Amino acid sequence: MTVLANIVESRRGDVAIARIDGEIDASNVSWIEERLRALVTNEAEALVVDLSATTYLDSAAVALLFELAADLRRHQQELRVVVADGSPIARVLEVTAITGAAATHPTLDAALGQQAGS
Amino acid sequence: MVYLVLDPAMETFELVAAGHLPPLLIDPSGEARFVWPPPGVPLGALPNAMYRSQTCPIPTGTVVLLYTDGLVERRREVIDDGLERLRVLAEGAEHVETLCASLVEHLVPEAPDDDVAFIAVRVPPLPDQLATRWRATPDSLAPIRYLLRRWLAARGATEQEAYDLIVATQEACANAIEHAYGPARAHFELAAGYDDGLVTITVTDTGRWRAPRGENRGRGLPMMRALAETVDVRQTDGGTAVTLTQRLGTPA
Repeated sequence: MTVLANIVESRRGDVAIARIDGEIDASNVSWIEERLRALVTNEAEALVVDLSATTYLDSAAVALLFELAADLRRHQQELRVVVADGSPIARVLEVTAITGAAATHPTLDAALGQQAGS
Repeated sequence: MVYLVLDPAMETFELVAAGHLPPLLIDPSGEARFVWPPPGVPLGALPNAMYRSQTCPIPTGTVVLLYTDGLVERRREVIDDGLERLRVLAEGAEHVETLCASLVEHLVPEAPDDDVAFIAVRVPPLPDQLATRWRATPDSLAPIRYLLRRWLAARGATEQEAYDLIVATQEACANAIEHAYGPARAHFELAAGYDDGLVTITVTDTGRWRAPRGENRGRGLPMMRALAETVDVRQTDGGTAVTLTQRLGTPA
């Protein structure tokens, strides 16, 4: 089976960062969900999902982002999504109104510059 | 040795050479040129030789020709002359069969000094009408995307147009996969048509369209409606057909 996506994990202070390189669809979304959930410790204030290098995502991925946002909020944590302005996936996120559930930022730096709760 | 991995879906190939002559590329307009891979010594020549690969685009309709030196090397002649003879002969070739026949006729000596082997590969252009059948599993989604990406690009779709239509189509496919039926070995069909700027894509399964359940499900249909110009979901005795249309070249 071909590898659709690769997740690069890092941490900046109390913020966990996952950059998803590649494509997300129904065939790999549960694997991605597992990896993302494992990243969020009790101490983490936020999870940044960096989609700058994501070349494809569909409603399976969008559903995951909504679920993650709701679960994190329940634990006083926060989901931040990085999506480059004008990228093809930006439009899919726009039509699904992800901004209503999670803060979106054009760059990783912008996502990290924002303090939790602001 | 030359080793080449062809990826028709992404329209690229990756090439590594070990003391081998460069592959010849004949692009869809007929122009022939050599692709010089990063130099690498012949296999076994050095104990710790390193080889680098190179990735090249190969647009639909391009012919790639691999050959051994027996095809171009002649005694008392510099290799460049032999390469140029091959390049000129191959120029304009559209079909691998005629290219190979012409190479045999003009370049393979009657009593060769060396063995001669060659392989010609062409990534065929996709027709305006596609009729395809897929297994109803999530693993079908990625190959469908790659096929549609090629097909839409060849019809002049912009990156955003292609992306939006592919997401919309994949939502219809995902529905066929997720809801259509229980038993394994189920299939669904995907047809695509292009006529004077209008793209029509139909996904047909033999199951019933089921309203999605759960708070975070059910984005498929709204997404299709947002991303394609028209969406038609038709329920018949035989199954469900989702038809999407989009006129290319109209701003979203």
